[in-house]
Amino acid sequence: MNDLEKYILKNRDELDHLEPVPEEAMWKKIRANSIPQKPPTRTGFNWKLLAIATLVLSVAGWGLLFFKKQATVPPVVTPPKQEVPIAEQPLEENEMPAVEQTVPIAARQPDKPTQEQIAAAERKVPPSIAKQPKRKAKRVTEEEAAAQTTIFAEEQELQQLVVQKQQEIGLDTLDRATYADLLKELDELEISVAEARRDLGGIPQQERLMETLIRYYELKIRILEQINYEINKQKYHEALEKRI
Amino acid sequence: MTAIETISEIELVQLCRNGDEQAQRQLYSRYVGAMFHTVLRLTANREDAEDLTQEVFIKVFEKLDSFRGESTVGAWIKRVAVNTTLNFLRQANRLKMVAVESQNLPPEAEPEVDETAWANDIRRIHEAMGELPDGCRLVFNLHLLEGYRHQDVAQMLGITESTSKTQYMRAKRILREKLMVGN
Repeated sequence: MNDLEKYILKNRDELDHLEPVPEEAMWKKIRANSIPQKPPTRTGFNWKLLAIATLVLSVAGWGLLFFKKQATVPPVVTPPKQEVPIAEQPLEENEMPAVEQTVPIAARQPDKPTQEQIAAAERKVPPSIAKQPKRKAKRVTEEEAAAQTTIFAEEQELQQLVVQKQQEIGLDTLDRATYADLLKELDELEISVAEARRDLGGIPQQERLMETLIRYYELKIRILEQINYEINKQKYHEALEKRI
Repeated sequence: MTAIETISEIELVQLCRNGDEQAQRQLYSRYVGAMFHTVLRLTANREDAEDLTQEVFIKVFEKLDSFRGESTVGAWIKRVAVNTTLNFLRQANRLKMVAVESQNLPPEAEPEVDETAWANDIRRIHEAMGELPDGCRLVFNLHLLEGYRHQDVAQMLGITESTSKTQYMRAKRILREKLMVGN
């Protein structure tokens, strides 16, 4: 290596600063030629819509199941209608006696059919058919009970997970303004599930309600995880700021 | 000084991969000067150097996911720059080497140059390098300034190793002559 080579290598860095570099102009062209932009992290996922869709599907599914069951149940045999004078009906407390008129016995809700009426109805239905719904109803109830126990355990597990996530995040002390979007989604989810509890609160709907609740917990956990991710991202950027 | 200007290369690359525009701008600012000058020395044409530098950074941002961290990001970008430029020159049919009679250029036959002719004037050397013929300019730059061995240069340019060596000696001879004349 001669002196010229040595001199060039010694001043190597200078060689990278001799010409003016049109940095801004080139950058604009690079941007215009599309640096691939990854889509921004989705924080605005519409959990409410998803929750509502879940609820609608749940209710629709239950409704379908209910009507299907109704269609397969043998027709209820009602005792022959008899008309009795209103005056013979027992009066409720503080109820004024009515004027003379008649109502069908079937419409008198508090009254139960008499033994004679039941016996008469059973005579019209073959015993094999008459007893079938009763046995079937008992078996279904046991299965349902087992299923509900499983779902209940699952719900409890998810509930614990939600509590754990909330504690990790410190949800109660979180700055609501910073995570407004996600917290709003969480609130909307709470409203949706409250509506579900109200609409599906009856005993026959318990299974559907439990399924809806489990879905609700799953959604809630996902939102909490999203909040956790945002918190960690914020911490990372704060750490970078401190390095200045 | 902002936080993005002080973060490490690894962090910067990660942010760029995530599509952070500020980080991409920072990575570009850190390396655009060196890459532009590298490309300019290889092409000896300012307009080509601008176009190729843009192409290099577009490729860099597109392919950043393939950067495995086996070298510095600067070295990786430099490889992209060199390969992009050589592809351009190949397509433009500018990789032709002028045949050199090796016997005319024995190392011992090199006339010594008065150091005062070029000392303290790197700009003159830079300009003289830009006037070298394509083939020997490429070899001279790749070997001396970019640090590639003659074996690697030969492979990159599709020539033999001995051709690379003779082209390098030719480049030095022409350079000295130019510097002497300039003096």
